[in-house]
Amino acid sequence: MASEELKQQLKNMIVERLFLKVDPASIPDDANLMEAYGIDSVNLFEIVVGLEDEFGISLAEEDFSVEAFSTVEGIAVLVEHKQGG
Amino acid sequence: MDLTQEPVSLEIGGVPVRGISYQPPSPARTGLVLCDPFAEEKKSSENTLAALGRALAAGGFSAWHYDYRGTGDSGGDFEQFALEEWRDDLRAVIEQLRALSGLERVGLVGLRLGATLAAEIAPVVGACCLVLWEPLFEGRRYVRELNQRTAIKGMLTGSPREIASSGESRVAGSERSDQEGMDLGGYLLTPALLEQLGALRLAALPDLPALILECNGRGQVTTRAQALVAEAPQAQAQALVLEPFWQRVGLVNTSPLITATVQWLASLEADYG
Repeated sequence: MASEELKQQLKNMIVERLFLKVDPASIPDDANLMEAYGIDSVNLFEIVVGLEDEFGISLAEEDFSVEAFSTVEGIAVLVEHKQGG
Repeated sequence: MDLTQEPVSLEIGGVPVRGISYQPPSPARTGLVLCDPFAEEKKSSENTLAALGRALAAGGFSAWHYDYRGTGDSGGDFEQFALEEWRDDLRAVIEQLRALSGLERVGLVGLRLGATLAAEIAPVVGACCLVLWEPLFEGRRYVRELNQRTAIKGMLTGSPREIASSGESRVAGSERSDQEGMDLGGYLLTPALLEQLGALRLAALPDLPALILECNGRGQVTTRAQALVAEAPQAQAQALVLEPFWQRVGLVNTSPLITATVQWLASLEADYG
């Protein structure tokens, strides 16, 4: 399980970058972002840019998987892995 | 008399370069050349750039918006051209405007790749001013982002992903090699284009009045823009809370960006007297 603080930071970043009209805290960790919030490839790219800009990680081709990017929990695990956590 | 909007064209290297001219009711003293972004970003920003052209004309400026060779309504195939030719296109357009229009001043307004190209050529063509919408600061990073977009699309569709970038090209799930370039949603990015994109770097602004406008969720100027402006006495940067419309398929209300641009240019015009 990824840290709660990181997941909240991710939710804030996702809401801000995608201009979602939701309270970041209301996003469940395990909600499917594509199904629940209509996130598409363009939005996912924005998330990737946000991860690199704000979380200091660099994503390689092998990091892109539906499993990792479907939920906040999945993204948080990926970020912690890339940060060496 | 109303604003006029009409097709225009010139020929560069035997290839027709076509665009749209936006003219105010009374003869303008300053003209602006609108410099396109790249590939899908161009498609997503067509409406905004057309609205900018009309707003500039309404503000008393002449505006010209041409398609680079190999793009839009201009002649040639996309794969035939790269940044060097598109810089030539902008230079030729400005040269022709100067020769035919009797304008006192010509400035440049660019978006993304167009902003970076505009900043590069502005001192060469003697531009009077520069407006940069979300310029690309690092071409190498931009190529990486193009790769990432391709990888994301591949991830969602389960299709093979082609990864290529200048200096660190690699291809996965595909037989294509990096020497063959990269297929970006139907745009074939040739090795030459990838190399030139990767070499782009906006490290300094020319010494002329310049405005960087950025769009993001925080309305905060990025550190990269701040650093550029800090070294350029005549430059300033602003950020607007605005979605990245150049990446959006749907319409985004970009009127705050257009208004900020026209107002800044009008303030410069007032300074000219």
